[in-house]
Amino acid sequence: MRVMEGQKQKPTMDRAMTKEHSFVAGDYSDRDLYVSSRTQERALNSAMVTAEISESLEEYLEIFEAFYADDIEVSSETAEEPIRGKDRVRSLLTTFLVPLHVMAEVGGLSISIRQTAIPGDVAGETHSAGRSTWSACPAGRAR
Amino acid sequence: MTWRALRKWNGSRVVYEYHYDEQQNGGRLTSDDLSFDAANLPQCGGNEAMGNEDSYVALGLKVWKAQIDRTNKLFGGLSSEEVLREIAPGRNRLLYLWGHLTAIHDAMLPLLGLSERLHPEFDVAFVSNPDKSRADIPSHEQVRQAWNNVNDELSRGFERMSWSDWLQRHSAVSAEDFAKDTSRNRFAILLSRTNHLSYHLGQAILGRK
Repeated sequence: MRVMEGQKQKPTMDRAMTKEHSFVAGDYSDRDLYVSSRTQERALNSAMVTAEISESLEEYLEIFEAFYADDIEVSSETAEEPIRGKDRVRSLLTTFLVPLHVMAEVGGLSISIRQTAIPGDVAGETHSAGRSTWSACPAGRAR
Repeated sequence: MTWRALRKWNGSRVVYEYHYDEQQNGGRLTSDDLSFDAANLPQCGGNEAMGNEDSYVALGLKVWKAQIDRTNKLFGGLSSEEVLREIAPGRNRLLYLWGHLTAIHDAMLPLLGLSERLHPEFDVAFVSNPDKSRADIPSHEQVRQAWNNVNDELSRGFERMSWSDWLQRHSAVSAEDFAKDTSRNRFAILLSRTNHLSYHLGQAILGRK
């Protein structure tokens, strides 16, 4: 198990500007699928960890646009049916993010995220473990 | 909360994502945790010495400043041609919205007892008349200068204000009416103008591209 990213750092303008270019999808058609999928997984995890929901939800939507295919299919253990198609997933994602953004910016909700890669041996498939910590820390009192 | 995610990649794009092993520890956050009721705010980060009143002010000013920064970023990056774009066909132009916001913020100065207005002439162009009804409205550069001047003046004034100042009546309400409703105070002006700014900022984003 390899830790790919530490906890969120305080965002800076420089980081925000460079981050804009950090998740430009590359063309790995001539590279080994195993390596390329892990490279992309690292880039995706890194982008998600450094995005700051209290600043804007657009960052997350940009990540989604950059990394996910038009025919994306998303499912989970708890969902009855998978969600298919980028438009539907984007809509769900937005519905999820908007209240989070408001609570983080105005209501003092604090969210920290860690991402850890899990080794796998199937080319084109990656696994990651995520941990998020949620707390209420009013903006006027947070350090 | 912890989870695991399986992703299948097709080149540089995720085509399948499956979440599993989701677990949640600790209690759920409720609306009470995020309430702005200062009496019930949990203590975070070691600023316990700060009074509840200061928390209100700090929060209000933080949100105000965040919206001002966003507005600066949005309008500040527009060219003289771009500010003449309409936010939607037949609707207000970006320059009008910017001038309108400037005029409304300018009017906050006397409302909050900070100073006389800096640009009362903006009302005719950007408040009392609709967009495109007059040819002699301030230029892009004049609006930009006025916006910066007005908000700098407000910022300086806010720094001088204590919490008790924010609780005082604003200048548009009489002492008699204020006695009946003490919520008509200066802090209410800050909150309502922040909402006003957010509303028009959302419109302006539509005209950005």
